[in-house]
Amino acid sequence: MLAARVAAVAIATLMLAGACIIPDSGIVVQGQFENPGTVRIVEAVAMSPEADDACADVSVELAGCPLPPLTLPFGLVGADASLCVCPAGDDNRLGFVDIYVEDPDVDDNGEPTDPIYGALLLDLPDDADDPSRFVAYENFLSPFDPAVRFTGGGAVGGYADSIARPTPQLRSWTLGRELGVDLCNDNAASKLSVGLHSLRLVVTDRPWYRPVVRDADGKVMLNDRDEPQRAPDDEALPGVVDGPAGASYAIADYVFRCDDGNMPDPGCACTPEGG
Amino acid sequence: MRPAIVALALVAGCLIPDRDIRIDPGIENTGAVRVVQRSPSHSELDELCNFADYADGAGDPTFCPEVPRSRPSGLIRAEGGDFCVCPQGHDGRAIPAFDIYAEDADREGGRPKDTLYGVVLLDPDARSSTPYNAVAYGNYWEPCAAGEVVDRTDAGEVVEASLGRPSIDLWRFRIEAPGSDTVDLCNDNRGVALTPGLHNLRFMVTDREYFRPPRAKDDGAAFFPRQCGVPDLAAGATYAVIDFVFECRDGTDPAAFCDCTEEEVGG
Repeated sequence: MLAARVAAVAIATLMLAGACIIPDSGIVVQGQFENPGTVRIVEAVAMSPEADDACADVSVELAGCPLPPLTLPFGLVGADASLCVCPAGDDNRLGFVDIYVEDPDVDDNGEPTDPIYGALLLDLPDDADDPSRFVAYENFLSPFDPAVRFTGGGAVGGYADSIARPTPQLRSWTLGRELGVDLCNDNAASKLSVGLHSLRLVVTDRPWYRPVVRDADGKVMLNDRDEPQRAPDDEALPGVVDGPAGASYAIADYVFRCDDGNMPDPGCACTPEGG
Repeated sequence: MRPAIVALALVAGCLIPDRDIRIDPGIENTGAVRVVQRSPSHSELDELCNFADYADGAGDPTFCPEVPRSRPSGLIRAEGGDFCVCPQGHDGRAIPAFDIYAEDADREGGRPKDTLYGVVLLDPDARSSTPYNAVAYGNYWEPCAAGEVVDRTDAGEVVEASLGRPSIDLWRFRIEAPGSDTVDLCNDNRGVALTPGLHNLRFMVTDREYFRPPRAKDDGAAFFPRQCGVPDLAAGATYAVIDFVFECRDGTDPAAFCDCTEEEVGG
């Protein structure tokens, strides 16, 4: 009698345990990784009509290939019209500029988990000791304002319907929404020098790096987890990515020339003074 | 009673917390490709990467860069003057061959799931319907060719993968002509010189082969030629770009103070 009960329990146990055996394909263990998804800067690129047709063949909802909205491309700026340093302003200034970023990290409800910050660095030397001193155009992009969720272009068939990949969590900043972007005359109201300039965009999915705290002897102070103690938030260095905090980052650049609006006929369109 | 307890213990052992476990939704291309380069670094990060007093004098790897040093994107300036379009054919200020790095997080069986392909484009137009016509510098990078997976530490520098992210494979694209260690941007786009002025060299990386239009069913061949520079979004491709801008001065202009040479320097 006892043997029969033991056998019955054993069989039941095996059946229950067998139900616990699950295939591991399709299961992703994130483990200790706190920032599995990396931030990206995205922009539309040109597609051929044949490629658009191929996308439309994948889904009836697509009229062409799903791309982020067209905006000012990175790289060379001002190939169409001269940008100039002007006594007043530059009528050739850019219109508003959208910058698009995405980060795939979402919570269980599908909501983005990481804020994305961006900073513009002007003419950053390769060997700069402190990139935060090159932060520029804060009147257009504050390094402490996270990108906002992009809701425009949300119609069916847009970038959100990208093929065979997770829905992109697109976010954006709009620079110069009201008056456009006068690169040569309005770096927080300062004018640039005549010549070529490089404007680097750095975006990251963690707050900017905060320096370590040192004692009177210059030794790094540690916190209760034996990690370097960090300066408070208001000492953060915009433009410096906090790699030790697990930040990911992305970089893109605009390059432009500022001509001299005071020189005769360089193609400038300076705003009449007092105008 | 005892067998029942044993049974309960066995079954309880099957209970596993679902924290940190996600069900793969079966999407084909989960990880998007990225072009990577070093972030602007602060001197303190460099210092602590190499020496940290709290780490017994060793460096603290959490402060180290994640990517080997490479040519920063943006404006490329020549050393000692300007780049020039040279009547003699070679610019003495041609830049050293350089690497471009990219990452793709998709892995399978401990190996990269996706192959990354690259192409150089010159002065691309985002509104063009023939973007493949911007393919350039095929002598320095074979259009549509695959990069190679490299070890982050190959360059002999202190480089650490991020502690906050899973291990991601690093891909390298070496911009270099066979038999030469320089890149003559203004004079050697497959042997053709550029026009004087500003130019944009864009390198595009994608995680699927570049798009190839199919022919009609009644046509003999199966496909038209591949369109390098057109990512195959219909096949689930992602893409990323990096831009380099440079100015070519006119080598016949004495005011440009060019360094034009008869022979390729360093060839």
